[in-house]
Amino acid sequence: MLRERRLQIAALLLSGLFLLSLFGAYDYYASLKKQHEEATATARDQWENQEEKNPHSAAHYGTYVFKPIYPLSYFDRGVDAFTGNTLFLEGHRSNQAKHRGAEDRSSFARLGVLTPAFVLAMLFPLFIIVLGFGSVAAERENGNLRLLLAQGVHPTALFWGKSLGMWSVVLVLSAPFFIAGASGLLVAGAGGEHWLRYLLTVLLYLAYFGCFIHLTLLLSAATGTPNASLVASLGVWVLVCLIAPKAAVNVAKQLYPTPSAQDYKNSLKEDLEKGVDGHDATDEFTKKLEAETLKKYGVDSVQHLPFNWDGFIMQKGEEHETYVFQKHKQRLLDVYEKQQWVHRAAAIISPYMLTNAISQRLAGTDVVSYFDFLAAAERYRVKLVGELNEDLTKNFKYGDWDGKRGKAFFAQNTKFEYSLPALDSVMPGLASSALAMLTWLLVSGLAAVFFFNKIRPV
Amino acid sequence: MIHAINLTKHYGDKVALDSLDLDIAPGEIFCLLGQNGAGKTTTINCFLGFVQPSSGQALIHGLDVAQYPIESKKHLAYLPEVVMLYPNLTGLENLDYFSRLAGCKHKKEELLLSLTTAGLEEKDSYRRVSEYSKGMRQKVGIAIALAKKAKALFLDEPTSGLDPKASNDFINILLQLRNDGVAMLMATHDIFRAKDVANRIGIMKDGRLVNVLDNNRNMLHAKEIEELYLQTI
Repeated sequence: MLRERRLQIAALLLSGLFLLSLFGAYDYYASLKKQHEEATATARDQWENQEEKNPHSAAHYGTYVFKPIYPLSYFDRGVDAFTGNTLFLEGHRSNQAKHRGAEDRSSFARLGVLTPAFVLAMLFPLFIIVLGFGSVAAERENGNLRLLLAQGVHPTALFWGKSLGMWSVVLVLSAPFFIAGASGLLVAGAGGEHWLRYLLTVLLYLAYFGCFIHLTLLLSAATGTPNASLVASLGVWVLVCLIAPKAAVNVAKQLYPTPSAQDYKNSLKEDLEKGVDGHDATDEFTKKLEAETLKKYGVDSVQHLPFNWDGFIMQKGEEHETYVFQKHKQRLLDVYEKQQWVHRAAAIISPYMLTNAISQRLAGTDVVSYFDFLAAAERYRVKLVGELNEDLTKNFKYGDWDGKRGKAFFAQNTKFEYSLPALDSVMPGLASSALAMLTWLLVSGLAAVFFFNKIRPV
Repeated sequence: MIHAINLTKHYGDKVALDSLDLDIAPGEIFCLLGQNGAGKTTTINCFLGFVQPSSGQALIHGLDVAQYPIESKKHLAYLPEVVMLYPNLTGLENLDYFSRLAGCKHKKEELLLSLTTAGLEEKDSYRRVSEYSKGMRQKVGIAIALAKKAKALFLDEPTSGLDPKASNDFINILLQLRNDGVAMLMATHDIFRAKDVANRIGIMKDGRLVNVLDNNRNMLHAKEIEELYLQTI
């Protein structure tokens, strides 16, 4: 097969594309990783060296946190380009992530970024189809199949032979890239768990190739002519790689519509007004809380409380705001969760979607990983603002808005530490997708064997 | 060795093969004449198991082809009109590949012997099949049949498109195989070649074997056969 011109050209093309994507991806990763490290350091530096100010003013001053760039994200960038990886944290509000890679690109970016994962999942199947569409159909047409079967070869053995032949080419062609991917991991200095993730990723793509090898052979055996076989295989590719993912997104949105940004803001505002506002002393909820607190401590004015009323009321306001933001975000998350569920269910019909989902999860670049980061950032925000308000409550006198904190205080504020969720915690969520993938591999193989046994060379 | 009992094949209303009874003994060559669509290739396809007969049986070495599709093929070899082979492999590699499919692993010398016996020059065995002429590919096809040492040989218009020299060489190989006790069923349009090699000549029309001529002592004249052929069809 290696002597065939058509395959030589396709292999060359694919090699070039892959190396390009690997280089581009690694370059992107390295620069982003550097940016991320610098930005994280700068943000903390800015926080610690901010002008001396009242702790609650510091909460308004705010700080930035960044989603870490994982070693495997150069292999599969997932949704990172669309979700953004920078989050501004401040008192009173829970923000959305900023700096989406896709924002500074043209609409071309929507086609997908040329990552190794994209080449392997989207383009490699085309190579497999070119490799195998004629394996039975062309031999039927030129009469070799008659000679082949007259020699008494068992159809199942013929299937194994054909798939082995395809595997050898597929492995020879993909192995250098998997090795190149591993060297990228080596350069990134990734730890043991990332290697395990990478190993699983490689196995995943091999299973994915296996599905396409089976499907191509199946269609080659089931259709009469090479032309029909090619058209049918390409049809399956379009269905599995292009139509199914788009359809899943649309169906999910139809079934579980995402609320518009306007509605979201309005309902958020409405709920925010139904509670304590730390910055509005005339607010009815603030007045009610004031009366209750004074009664509890048996004093007649907030000046006589054993703590700083300003700090206390700021924290109470913060707690209410956090509660409201949480509630509304959760509502949004529930919608996303349901949409994700539709995606997962729809993925069963498309090995491409299964592969994407598993690969992104292993790389830590899928939507679930993103939400995990957001949740961690929000927990950090609540903790940091809590620290600041607590300091104001305990260590400052009522009305002392001129009291200031400097570097010594800000430097000992809690730091944001977030890393990739451990593989152990990720694996259970992958079980069903992995099972679906194996089922695809097995069923497509069995179906191919079935059609090979039905081959009639006339 | 090659045995058909009431072998019949329908395609819808059309009868492709009508109650064929045929018994070819070891060391016998049976030639089938007939127009295109008379049922010659359908007959061969039934013996190769490529076509499921509507009724009746096709037996190779006593094995029902429909029942034992793989086992029955151990005893037969097949030479199609056009031997395509794999153009990127050499003649020798092609022979090796097809022999392995049949479950025989021959030494290189044995393979080369089969090829030279089939009339292919040794230096040509190492060239890629893409450079071969039709005659040379046909010779590799014969070598595949020879290497299998089959007891029954099916030939579907094997001499069409061959030059007279190649055709003559080919006939000599068939005669040699006959002496070795191989039973052969050959579909052909070539009345002269049929007269030269056949023990019996059958003429088919609309799926029926209409006439069978005895040619055991090579006593038939081509003219007689041709006249009968023209009358029959």
